[in-house]
Amino acid sequence: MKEKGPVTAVLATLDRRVRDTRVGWASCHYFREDGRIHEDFFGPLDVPYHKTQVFDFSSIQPVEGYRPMSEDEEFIKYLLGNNLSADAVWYLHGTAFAPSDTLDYYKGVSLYTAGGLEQASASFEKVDAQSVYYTPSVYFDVVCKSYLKQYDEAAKRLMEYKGPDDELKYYELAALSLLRDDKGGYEKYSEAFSYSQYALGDGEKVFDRIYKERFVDKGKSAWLAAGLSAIVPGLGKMYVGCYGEGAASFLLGASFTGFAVESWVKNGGKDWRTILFTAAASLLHLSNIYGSYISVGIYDNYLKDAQNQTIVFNIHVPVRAFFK
Amino acid sequence: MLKIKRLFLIFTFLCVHFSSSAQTVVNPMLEASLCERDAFYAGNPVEYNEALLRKAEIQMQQGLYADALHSMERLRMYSVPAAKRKEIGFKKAYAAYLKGDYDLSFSYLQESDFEVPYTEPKKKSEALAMALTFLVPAGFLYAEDPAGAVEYTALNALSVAGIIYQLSSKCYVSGLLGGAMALNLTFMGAQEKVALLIQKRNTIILKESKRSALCSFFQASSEGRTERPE
Repeated sequence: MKEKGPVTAVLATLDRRVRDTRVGWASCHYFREDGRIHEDFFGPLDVPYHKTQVFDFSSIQPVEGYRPMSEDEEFIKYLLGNNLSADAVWYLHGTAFAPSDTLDYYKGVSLYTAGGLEQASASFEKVDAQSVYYTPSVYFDVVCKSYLKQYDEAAKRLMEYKGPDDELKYYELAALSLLRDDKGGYEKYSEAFSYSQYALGDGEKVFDRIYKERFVDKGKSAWLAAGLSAIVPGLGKMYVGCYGEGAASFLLGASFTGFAVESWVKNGGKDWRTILFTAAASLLHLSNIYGSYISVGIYDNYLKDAQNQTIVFNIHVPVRAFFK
Repeated sequence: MLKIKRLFLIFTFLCVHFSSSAQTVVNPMLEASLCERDAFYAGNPVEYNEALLRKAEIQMQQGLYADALHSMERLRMYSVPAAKRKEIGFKKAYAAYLKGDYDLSFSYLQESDFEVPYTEPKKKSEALAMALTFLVPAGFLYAEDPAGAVEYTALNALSVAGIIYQLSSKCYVSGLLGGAMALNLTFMGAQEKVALLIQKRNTIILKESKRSALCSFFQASSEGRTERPE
């Protein structure tokens, strides 16, 4: 109400009520696992891609004297491989290991696996370019930053990467270009796609599909949706692909119009019932036109959100496969 | 000379006491990870189990009941003596109870041959509630929701009044179709609401009765009134 004004608020609320009926939910393509609509006026609410947490190491006092990390590498690998990454986090931060790139890398991996993405990213950044752990650190850092939606920082990290220019690098850069809506960037980096590497082939095809949907295919027109709903209630929603919502709007709109017409014929135009039914039918019709108009934006945003989640997932998968 | 020797001894003791390597671990999560290391480097299954039990104990103290249960589930039971298995079963059941998984707690107790006095509470019937809702307030009163009874009786009365009024005015479309739409919301809505209320109520009383039975059992065990593994 404060943001959009009372008229828009009434129309949007009425449209939302119609969408939320049983018929409205039929063939619904939106993500509603808890049975609620998670969106504002123009699309889904911002939901983080990954559950993150922050570890508090302030009370940690390193135990035992300095010793090399290599002594415990097998143990750390065991923890990471057995879903005990939180133990690895505490062990690595609480034991007085001699500072090394190996230590920073394993701190990063354990934090990343345990969900401490910000802290993991900070650990990966400490790994020196001369280290054998440099390449995996860069790629894991890119994954952390992508999950944190820091796409520019992730792309910058890859651009500054001093390792070999292999397909994985361009794969990640192409994915980040999609996340940043950078059409030219995607076209440039996707030229390196070979579609033949087992860990990258599927992801490359997925990125190409998303690129086509986002930049090549013609999007749906909000004005056309509104126009169609003005002619036949619910038709605009069907044009967007929300068939249940279209049917619910049509049934309600047609019923109330029928009541108004009947009352007009039987009781005359000045009868209170005619006025009530006409007002209700008009309000429903207007809300449907408005709802059809915004449904294009909502649909686009849902689609974009789903695509971005797919991209981030496909950024992460090959990195795990390459650097087990 | 003896005095110097004595002073040297005291100094050495203090040095050892305050040196970093001899400091006690203050962070319980770190302590738990050290137990995990002991388990990893354990020479035999007995040492492995002891380390994991220490870890589970720390996790219990920290309120990490799910993690404690997970640690206990990783125990190599084949190397646990028969007498101690019962104790571990009890601890697992207690962790599951504190975690809020009462069914799992019951199954651990049954597995370890503990008898928990429990009688399932009488549940209310959803079908009966829906049948009673044909007389709207009756269903709500059966579901112990008098406010709902008043609300839905009023809404249904309004719907019926609207239908009668429209039909008497010979407005059959709005009388029949509109009336059907209104009753779908008020009458069928009442049925649905009552079924949901009963379902919710049954779930709550079932959970509460299990919680209460387990609570009494663990309380009695701590007071020594029932069999408890030492």
